[in-house]
Amino acid sequence: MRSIVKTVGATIAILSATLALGWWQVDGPFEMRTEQNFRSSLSNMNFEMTSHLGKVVSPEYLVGNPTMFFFGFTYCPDVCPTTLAEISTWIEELGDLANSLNVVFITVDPARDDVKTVAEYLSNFNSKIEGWIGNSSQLAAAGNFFDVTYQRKESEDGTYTMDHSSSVFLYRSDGTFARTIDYHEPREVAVPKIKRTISEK
Amino acid sequence: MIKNLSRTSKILSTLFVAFSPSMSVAEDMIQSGRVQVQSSWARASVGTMRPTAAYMTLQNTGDQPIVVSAIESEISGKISMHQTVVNAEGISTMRPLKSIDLAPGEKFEFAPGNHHIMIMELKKALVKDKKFSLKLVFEDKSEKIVEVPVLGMGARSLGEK
Ligand SMILES: [Cu+2]
Repeated sequence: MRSIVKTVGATIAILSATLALGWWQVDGPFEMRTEQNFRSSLSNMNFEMTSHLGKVVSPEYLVGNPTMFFFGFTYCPDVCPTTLAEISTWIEELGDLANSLNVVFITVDPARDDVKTVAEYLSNFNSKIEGWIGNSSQLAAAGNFFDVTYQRKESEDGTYTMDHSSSVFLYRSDGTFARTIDYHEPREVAVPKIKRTISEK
Repeated sequence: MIKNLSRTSKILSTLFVAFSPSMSVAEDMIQSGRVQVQSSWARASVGTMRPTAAYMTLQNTGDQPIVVSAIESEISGKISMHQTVVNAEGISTMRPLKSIDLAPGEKFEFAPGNHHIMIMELKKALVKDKKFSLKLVFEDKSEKIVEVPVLGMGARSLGEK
């Protein structure tokens, strides 16, 4: 028993050393990539989904106007409705500035969120928000391009929730990635970020 | 006997809360009498299949620690206390809270995007502008009923919308 514990301990030590080394090489202090260039441009995102209005949509079609993307699911009791309500207030505060802005909510739970469900759900929030529903491979493609993570988490009662990226991604009208708004950033920070993204043609 | 005693003290404490603003010894014995609840609300649900959340602020107004060990309601078969946590990579997840410890004078806030009372297995939908009641259950088995107004799905706090 003791030797097993020892072996496990040693393995963990080696693993963490390897991980630390990996971090040094990939994300460490000599890492050169910046936020500006590691995310794909919308013009390269050649996946399609269905909007909550039943239309075929793709990020490529949004180029020409600034765009805001975020992820969630309708079975989400707390963080998703809070984010949607927050974004609705940003849109109101932007007023006319928001006219050209695309606002897209992508569901990370296509197994339960169909077009009708998402449409009904979004009717509770600002009408500018468009819902996108993809099948699992379309969603995987989106996850890749946006560099977002989502993961099904089982609960003991047989239901599940989705852990997912809670950031909002902003793209300029030429389709290039501009910046993110992190979950806890207040409106006073978020709204200027959107304004800046809209003005950077 | 113990049951009877606690029931009596509950009735007593209710009377004291109703008729006397000053702290009484009997009231101070049980935890439910020493908790003040404010700004409670819940988010309207989409039917009964999907979970929703309720929020409120609790404050320990006594001079002894208080532990909230469970929350129950007739409207749901399953209510848990949760915290939404966002990690360094921006991934949000929910973590269960076993209990809430309130030191004397301490406040605890259930608020959107953070601590929440997660309501699953709804027996009927929570409809905007309606009310329902939740029961806070304390470590000493005393209970406090809280009236919870239901706000729209786009609500962010009791004050706004
Ligand atoms: Cu929860």
